[in-house]
Amino acid sequence: MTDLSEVRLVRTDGDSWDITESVGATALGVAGRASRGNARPDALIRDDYAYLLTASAGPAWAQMASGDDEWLSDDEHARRLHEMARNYQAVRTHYFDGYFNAAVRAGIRQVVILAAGLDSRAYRLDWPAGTAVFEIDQPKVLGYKTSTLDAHGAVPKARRVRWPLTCATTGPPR
Amino acid sequence: MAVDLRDDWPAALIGAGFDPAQPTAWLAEGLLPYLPGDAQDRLFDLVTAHCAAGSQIAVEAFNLHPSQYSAEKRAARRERTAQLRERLGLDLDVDTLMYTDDTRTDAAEWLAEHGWRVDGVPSAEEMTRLGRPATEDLVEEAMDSVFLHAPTRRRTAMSTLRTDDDSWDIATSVGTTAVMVAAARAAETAKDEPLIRDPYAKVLVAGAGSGPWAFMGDEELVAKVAAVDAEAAAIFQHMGNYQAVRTHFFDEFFIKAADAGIRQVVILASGLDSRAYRLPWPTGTSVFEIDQPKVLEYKTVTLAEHDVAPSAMRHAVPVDLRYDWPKALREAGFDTTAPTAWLAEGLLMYLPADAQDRLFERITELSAAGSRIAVETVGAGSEERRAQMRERFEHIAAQFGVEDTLNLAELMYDDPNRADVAEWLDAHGWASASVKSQDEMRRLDRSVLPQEQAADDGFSTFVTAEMQ
Repeated sequence: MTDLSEVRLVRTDGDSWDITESVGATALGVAGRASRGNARPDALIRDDYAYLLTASAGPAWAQMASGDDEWLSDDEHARRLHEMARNYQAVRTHYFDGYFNAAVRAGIRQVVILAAGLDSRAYRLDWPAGTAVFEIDQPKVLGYKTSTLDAHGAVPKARRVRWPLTCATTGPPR
Repeated sequence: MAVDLRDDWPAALIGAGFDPAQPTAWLAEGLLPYLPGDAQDRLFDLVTAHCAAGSQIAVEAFNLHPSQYSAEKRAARRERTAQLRERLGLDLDVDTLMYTDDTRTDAAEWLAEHGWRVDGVPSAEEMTRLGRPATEDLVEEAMDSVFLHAPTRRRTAMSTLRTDDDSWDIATSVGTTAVMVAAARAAETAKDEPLIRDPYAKVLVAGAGSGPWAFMGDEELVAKVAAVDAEAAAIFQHMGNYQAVRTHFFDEFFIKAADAGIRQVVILASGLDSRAYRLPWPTGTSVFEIDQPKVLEYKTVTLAEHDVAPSAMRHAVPVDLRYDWPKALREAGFDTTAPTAWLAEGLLMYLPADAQDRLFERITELSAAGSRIAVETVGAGSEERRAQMRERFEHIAAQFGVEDTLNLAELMYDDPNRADVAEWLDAHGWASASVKSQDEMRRLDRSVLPQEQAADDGFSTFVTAEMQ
């Protein structure tokens, strides 16, 4: 049993982070699990950008996002915990993908993803022409995503993808 | 320091071109645990303040209250992140990043209190539904969260008279349409060679007082209109015929379902449907009728006053189809293990497209193998054509003193992106068959419209399907 009191809170009121730090790293964890989820023949969702976005952060992340659980092979309990976490995330992504698909069918053409992290929905979902997808997150997190996807020629499927909080630091809105 | 979600992000958003007057789909996925409780409230406050009518929000809400976020869960999470740290050398310790304060507001409660109509599914349930259940011996360590989906209660832009949580009795709004179609059935029943017989329609219409239904099936009025405007008269006649053919089609559907051994029936948005009283149900058949409380009560009381008894075990389920009706249905005695015959007649046009999807999802979840469904789809008539018809009817109504014409178009959700019902069902475990209503009208020799109008895609389709 873990004593709750031993858990430190490392956050401060005005803290910020890069992609491999603090809350930014949780976005990498999410993308890494999405990448592993793609490998299943019965995958609930396909996120073709997840591996790229995780692996570009470094070799350790690439290993986490790769198709095998080699690094966990000697620990069955941990392997199963990771598998359950991946299942949870696949189901979650599937649910919110469905939400957006229904929203655009209902005529909504403006989307805001709060704390988007490495969410690739702007690139991945079939947005009707003229849909604007706004992603809000820390400048460095969005900057990492934009430059990584740009470098690999990924093109958003929404007409305009805007990065409101990164305009000043990473260039003009797209 | 750049703007982040703890600061005044709406200003930055608007500066980047966000239009607060447009309906928006918001998402807060994986976010809340990383915000302190008060920042969560402020975030939702700001979202709500920048929401136009028709907006929606989806939220992944965690149960992180210290009394609920168990030591086992926390230990499991720490074990996972420790593996990542130690074996891969990754700088990640999720637990120390999360705010688990006990003052955090429940997201579903907060949204419900601030003008959102909240619907949601526990993540564990959704995982099971999609065939990825939490491993049995690890259930205690699985994430305790809910996926919320909430449209704003603000009036939607698509349907001018409707709001997301409006209600009605028999003489108002959508309730009126139930009287209109009952009036059409009463008129058909009174004909020399009726296609269907609904002996109870007449008392149900009479009890509703006077209204725009008075002209339904009024042969004299049709004759008078014909003298002035032959095409309009044909359309009046067509409307009556359509109702008769539709009722006939779905009566047959139920009779065949009963012949096949189905003994459980659900009529969605039953309105003044009297099938629970007039069809020859086999002994032991249960008919569940779902509709607004006042609509069901009116029917129950009126027919009881006229000593009419149901011909099946009738269960009135007074719940709005936009809320958690499966729960209400189960509580009324619905058996999820028994095959069911479902009917959605005259319903879909009054639902927004996403509510239609949700409706069919829920039906599918509740349907045992061998279940059947019958659906009247929404015809995709052109806006222009409808406006012309509307103008014409108003003109005729004024000329013949028909009171209070009802603008049906204003009650309907005209949604060009509505899912195709047959395609949807075929993709979700059903095998469907479709009959175009104009073909069925021709088959029953009730087609009175000229060829070019009968080819209009504004006509509905009758879809039936069986769960495989």
